[in-house]
Amino acid sequence: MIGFLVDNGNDQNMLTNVSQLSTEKRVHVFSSSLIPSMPGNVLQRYEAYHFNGTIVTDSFRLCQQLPHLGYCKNRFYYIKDYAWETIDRLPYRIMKNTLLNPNVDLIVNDVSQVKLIEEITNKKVKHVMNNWDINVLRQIADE
Amino acid sequence: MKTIVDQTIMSYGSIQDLLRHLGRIGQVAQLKNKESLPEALNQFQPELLILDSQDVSSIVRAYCNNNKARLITLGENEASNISFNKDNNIPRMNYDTLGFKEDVDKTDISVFADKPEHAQYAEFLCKNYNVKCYGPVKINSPRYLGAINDVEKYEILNKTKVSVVFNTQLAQESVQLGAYPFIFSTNQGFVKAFSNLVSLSDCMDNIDNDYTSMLKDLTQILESSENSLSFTIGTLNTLGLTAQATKLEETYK
Repeated sequence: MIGFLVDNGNDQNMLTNVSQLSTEKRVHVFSSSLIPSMPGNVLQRYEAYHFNGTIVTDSFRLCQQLPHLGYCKNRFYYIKDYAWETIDRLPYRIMKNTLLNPNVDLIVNDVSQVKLIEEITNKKVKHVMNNWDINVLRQIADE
Repeated sequence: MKTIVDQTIMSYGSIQDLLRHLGRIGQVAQLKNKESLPEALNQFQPELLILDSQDVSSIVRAYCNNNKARLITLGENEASNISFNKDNNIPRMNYDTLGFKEDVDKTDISVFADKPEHAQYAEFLCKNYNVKCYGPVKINSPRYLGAINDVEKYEILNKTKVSVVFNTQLAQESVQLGAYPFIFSTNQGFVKAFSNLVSLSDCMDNIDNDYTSMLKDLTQILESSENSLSFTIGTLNTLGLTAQATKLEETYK
């Protein structure tokens, strides 16, 4: 069982691949807004607190919730860009709660990001997933 | 013992050293508005005043004479019992830092940028070396991990093998927690110092050197020098406040 914590449904690659994955596996999408183009289970974001599968988010903001999702089996932050770099006043505790949190595993978008992310976090990057690659999503869902 | 201190001089090293310990043996009031000093003296009735030498007015003198209060000034003043030199702005070693020491793997190279003028060094390091950067000044790099508080600073220093710092206090804390400091300074003393990007590169290019023995030497130098507690006890004794000095000594036993 895999869940996606999403900020908005604007990422077409995500919509396409998650929709395809939902035809093969049990997929839940947790969002505070409606995503009409997403078939299957779209739930309110707070429902993620009861979710007991693997959860993935590509939002730095929502990634802060990951350590607090007590029932989750695995928590993944999918780093597409370095969102923390754009924050004007970044407190270290946010980084500790997200990227550096030992309970949050990391996925990067491109192999070129691996070295930097591993150096910053002192953690191994778990997956390299280019634009929500369906094959990697299957692999994550099967873990 | 009640102490009143002018908030504008609290960043000076010797004043910081005193304030770190005086709170343990009494109340410390911070004076925000200098104009309200007479009112504050009247209401708070301090036994020790810590002021800028320029703020010692006839009211202050009269208060000290009538109430047998002691006066410490930053800068020379004939009315003061003790005066500190304004140029000596380096705080002494604080043993409290050792309470935060943890036995963790030291792997990181941490850069602590406190002021906007440090940003160019931090950005240079983030661009060219495997470092992690911290501090209130935003650095345009994914290696910048945010602004830290004191506890977070100690936590980071514990897992740091080499730190790049821009002030003496942080260098001291770094040594106490087992991280070898590269310090921004024109004076090549006991620690490796840099004053521009070239000397900083030189420090960073030799980062794989074994700093264990140098760190040991630095720790010994720090331990043999006067620390903030012995300085405060000495100051209280000089002021004739021996009972308070003994009380402070006992709080650490």
